[in-house]
Amino acid sequence: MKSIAIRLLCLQLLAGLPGAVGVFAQGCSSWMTPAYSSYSSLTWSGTSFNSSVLVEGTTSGTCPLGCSCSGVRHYPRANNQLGPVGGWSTGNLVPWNSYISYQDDQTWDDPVPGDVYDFESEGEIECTAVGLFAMFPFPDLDDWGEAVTYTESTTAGGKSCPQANACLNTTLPECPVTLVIDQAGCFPFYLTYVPYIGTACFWANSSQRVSEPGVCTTKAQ
Amino acid sequence: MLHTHSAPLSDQVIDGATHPELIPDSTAYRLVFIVIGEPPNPAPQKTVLQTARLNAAGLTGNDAQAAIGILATFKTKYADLVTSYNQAVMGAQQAGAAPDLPAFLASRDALVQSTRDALMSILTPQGAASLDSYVQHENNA
Repeated sequence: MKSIAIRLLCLQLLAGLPGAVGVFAQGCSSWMTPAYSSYSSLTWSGTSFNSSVLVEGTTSGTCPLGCSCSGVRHYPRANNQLGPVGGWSTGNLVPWNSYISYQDDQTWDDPVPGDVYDFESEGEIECTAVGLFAMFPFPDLDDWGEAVTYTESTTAGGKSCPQANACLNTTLPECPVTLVIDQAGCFPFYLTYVPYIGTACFWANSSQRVSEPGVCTTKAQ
Repeated sequence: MLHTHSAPLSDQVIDGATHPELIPDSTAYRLVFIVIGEPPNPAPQKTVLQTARLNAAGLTGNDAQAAIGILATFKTKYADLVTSYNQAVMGAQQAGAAPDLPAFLASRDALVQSTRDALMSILTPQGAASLDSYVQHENNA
């Protein structure tokens, strides 16, 4: 029997090989075989960043004669730190062989443009008899936020406005805006915030007219 | 005590980013369905979040609408399945018996498979391919 861990970015599976628990558990707890999976994701909804950490699965085994196993409990924990929100959370204590399916969701809808945020995630199963029973630490994702982009319209009039880079610091943003639709016609300069997660850029959160070029930010500062 | 378990536990974990081939499709789909799926009539903010997740999976328009219904059914049945099994665990413990884990796992995997089949039968070829690609990507990103 094996266990897994996945993520958004990742999926993981804990390989609870028979007897594997015996490596780190002694006596009346070495008979348990864990089989858990974990999944971690980070998405952009159009108005907010959203993350989820899921840990689920169960433990099998036969309680040896002479051991009191009925009191052994398991419970899930999840670390879902999305920028400044979230953190560790804990699920209910349940009998050791219950099926656990625990999900923690977080939302962050107020990123500061130009700031780079970190996403930390981890799933765990704790056991009252042996302590940490299964763990799925995912690599940190420390490259997401809203990039700041300045563009200049190269065509006057019309509603589709071809754009050129207008960054005062001459930095070419990694999330460039290629088109701005302006109901009143093209305006000389625009300031745009572009959400990104890793290498993926999303639709611009908002574009606003400005009178001059400005300093742009790249995704990874 | 908690930290002393880290090393041996880590040795037993299959990381989808490193060994995607060792993670069964049924497991990858199950976890993605659980996270993307919402029960029937979700709150407005949950609907927004679900739409974002479906879009990330390449499902938009009619494909997304079809998936919402199928995944709502999955979510409800999955929760019922887990609840029933855990009630059986409690009953078995009181009786000094073992719950029927193999039967539960078979039912769980059958539900995942039937959900996949339902999606593949109703999604456009492009939507079906996008969903499969998304799950595979999640598995090894």
